Amino acid sequence: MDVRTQHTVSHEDLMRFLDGEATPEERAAIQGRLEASSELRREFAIFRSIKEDFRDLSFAPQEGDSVWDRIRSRITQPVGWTLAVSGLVGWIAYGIWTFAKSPSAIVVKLTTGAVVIGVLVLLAQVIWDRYREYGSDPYRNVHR
Amino acid sequence: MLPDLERELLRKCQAGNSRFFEPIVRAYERPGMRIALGMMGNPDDARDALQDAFVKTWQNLSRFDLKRRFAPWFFQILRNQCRDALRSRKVRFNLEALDQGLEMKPGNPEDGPERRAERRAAKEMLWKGLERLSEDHREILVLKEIEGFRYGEIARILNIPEGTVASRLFHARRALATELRAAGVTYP
Repeated sequence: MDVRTQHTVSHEDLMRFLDGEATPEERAAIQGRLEASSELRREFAIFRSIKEDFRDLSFAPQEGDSVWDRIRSRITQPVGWTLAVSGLVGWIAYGIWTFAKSPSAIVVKLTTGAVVIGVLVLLAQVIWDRYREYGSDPYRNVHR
Repeated sequence: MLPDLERELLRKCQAGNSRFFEPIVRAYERPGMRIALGMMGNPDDARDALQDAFVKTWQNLSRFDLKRRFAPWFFQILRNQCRDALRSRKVRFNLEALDQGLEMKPGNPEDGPERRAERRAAKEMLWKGLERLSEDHREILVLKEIEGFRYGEIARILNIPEGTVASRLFHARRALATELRAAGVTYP
């Protein structure tokens, strides 16, 4: 497209005319220039042809294919996790405090404490590994 | 959706009640999907971008001023999401999108098989032409030609002056004409 529309009508005005955004006065002025210039008419015809090609194309996402269910789980999960984790932390802290204050022998307290701490460390390790892999997991968005 | 109803739903969402977000999602997912599909080129990437945009909208809803219109704000988030996604993955315009998410508008019933084949070929060329455009050009054509926004709305979504919308549309259409010519389309 080698026609320089700026010599007759600015690019912006030509687009506003094409898209029905020009005022009646601007429309009349551009219409006059189009009638006077065959080159401008040719250029305008190309733009109009592209616009008509788009009109032939309509996007119609399929019915019943809503994204809401996935969005709901994503926006409610953080609330659930926060509540669950804070409750669990409080519960564990209370359990440790109660156990430490109980009259059990020191050997029982140490061995039980070692088992509980060991299990928690392993659990935290699994959660951390899963969290790190999540970002690069290609199947994370796959649903049954 | 009526503006007053939308504002009321958004007010309840801002109070943290996620179930009032559902009508908002349902009202905006179809235009959102059309924009995302036009930007990303295939239904899978478009759906991912759309979901991420809705989640970001929800997360930032407390900062949204209810005196403003929601639609341009949401489409701005969606547009940014699509552009972010395109930074980490190459745009993939596949022709399956034409069958899954795009439809031909009903043509003249008297059109013969030859005319229908021509229209199908024109649609495919347009789709492939869009893929080869820059993101700036593609997004403005999607907003204007596929979603039918007016210049003022496009200016708000892209955060640019209205004069720039007209200028960018000119360059986008010219770039697309060049691509279509290269693909064999002839103009008078």
